[in-house]
Amino acid sequence: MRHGGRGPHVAIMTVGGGDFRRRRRGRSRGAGVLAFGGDLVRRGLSLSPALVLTAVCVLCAGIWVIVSLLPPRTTKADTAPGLALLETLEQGDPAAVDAVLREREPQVPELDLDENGEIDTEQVWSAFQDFVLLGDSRGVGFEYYGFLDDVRVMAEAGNTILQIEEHMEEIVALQPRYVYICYGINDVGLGIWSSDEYAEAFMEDVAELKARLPEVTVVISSILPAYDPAFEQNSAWYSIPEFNEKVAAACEENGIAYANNDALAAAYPELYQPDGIHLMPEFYPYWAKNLIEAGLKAPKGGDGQEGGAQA
Amino acid sequence: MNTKVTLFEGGRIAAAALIVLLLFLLAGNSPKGDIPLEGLESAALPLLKEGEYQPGDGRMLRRFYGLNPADYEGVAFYYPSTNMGVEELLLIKLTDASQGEAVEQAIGARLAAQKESFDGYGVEQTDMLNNHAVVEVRGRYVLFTVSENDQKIRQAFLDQL
Repeated sequence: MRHGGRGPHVAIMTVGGGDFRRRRRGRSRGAGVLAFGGDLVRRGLSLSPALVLTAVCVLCAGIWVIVSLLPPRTTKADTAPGLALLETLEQGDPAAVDAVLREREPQVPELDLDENGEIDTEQVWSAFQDFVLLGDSRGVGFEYYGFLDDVRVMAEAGNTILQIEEHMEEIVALQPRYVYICYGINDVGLGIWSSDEYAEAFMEDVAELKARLPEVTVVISSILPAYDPAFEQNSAWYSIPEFNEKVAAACEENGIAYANNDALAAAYPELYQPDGIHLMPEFYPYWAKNLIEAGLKAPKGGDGQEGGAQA
Repeated sequence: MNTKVTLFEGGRIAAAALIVLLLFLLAGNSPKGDIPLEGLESAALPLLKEGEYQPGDGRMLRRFYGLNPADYEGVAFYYPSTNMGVEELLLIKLTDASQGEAVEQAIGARLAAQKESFDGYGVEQTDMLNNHAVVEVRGRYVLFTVSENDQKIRQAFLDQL
């Protein structure tokens, strides 16, 4: 552009050989723009195909974005029939409903070992439904290694059956279908009671638990044996078989499910930790399988006869 | 030329010397700039007992310490391989030095819980927790370890800073 010499401001723009000086002088700015646009049309301004295509795409994209941002059209549903149903259900008996639901629960298949003696660990852990597991430092492994939800595993080092009463409110609050109890190593090792006293106290605690949760299935795990060098630390653990015999007999007498782990421990001694007391992570699926199967063999809504598969 | 030093001038010289000394001591006690956590971790990790530890994630850090790793610039955490082990290493690069006190408290709680867990139960574990546990906080860097090589780990940590 070059500035003209006449007047305070005369802009001269040359397009196609002409200029606007004569057109713009004395006119408003808006009129000048219109004149410019009109001149373009008259000159047959052509746009490239690429520009046209781009403009079309931008337009379509803009329309799509706008439509996407629009709130969905909803129609108001008729909630009256649903509310009426809920009010009817509120009048019902929860226990009756629970009984119906229990009957409809799918049966968990037996957890077989394959030909190599391996088990499907995913199947094992998924079989733990609606449960609580109590235990000592051995029981800690069920949650320490990430197998089970730590909210449902109430286990600590040094625990004994005395902790059943301490955990009672927590257990009742969870309303479990199954309670697996894995104590004993400390009950025996600490010399708290004789084998008869242990079995008697155990049954009393289980009775209290069932009084609070009438529909629960309790599974008592036999005390896993100890191996050398554990006996150097505490020779009392030689008495574990005696304690197990008394508890097994008490379970049979009282109709409580019992998971006998003797064969399991004999089959996998290499899965014990070097201390001869605690278990490696690889042991837990087998132990869990034993517990699950003992619970499944008990009649629904209560406890069955002495049972529990021997792995 | 009057070479005598007045009392006032002498005081100024002494104050300046004291300031220099304090700066020197502070510099020796503070980390040298921004140290990457990876360097601290690679220096300490080989000193842990092989097979006795495993790497921990945010879930385990929250479970054992109640700490959220997202609150810090960096965390390296290793915890015992079995529930009967005590070998442990925690390195934290704080986002701000003011977080140090809360982290120290969390470490203290963890150590106390471990001691209670093994009290009257695990003789070796109790000995380790009582005699081979180290907590060190230097600026924005925190070390906690339970290990037979606790002092070597501590020194390696300090050498990096």
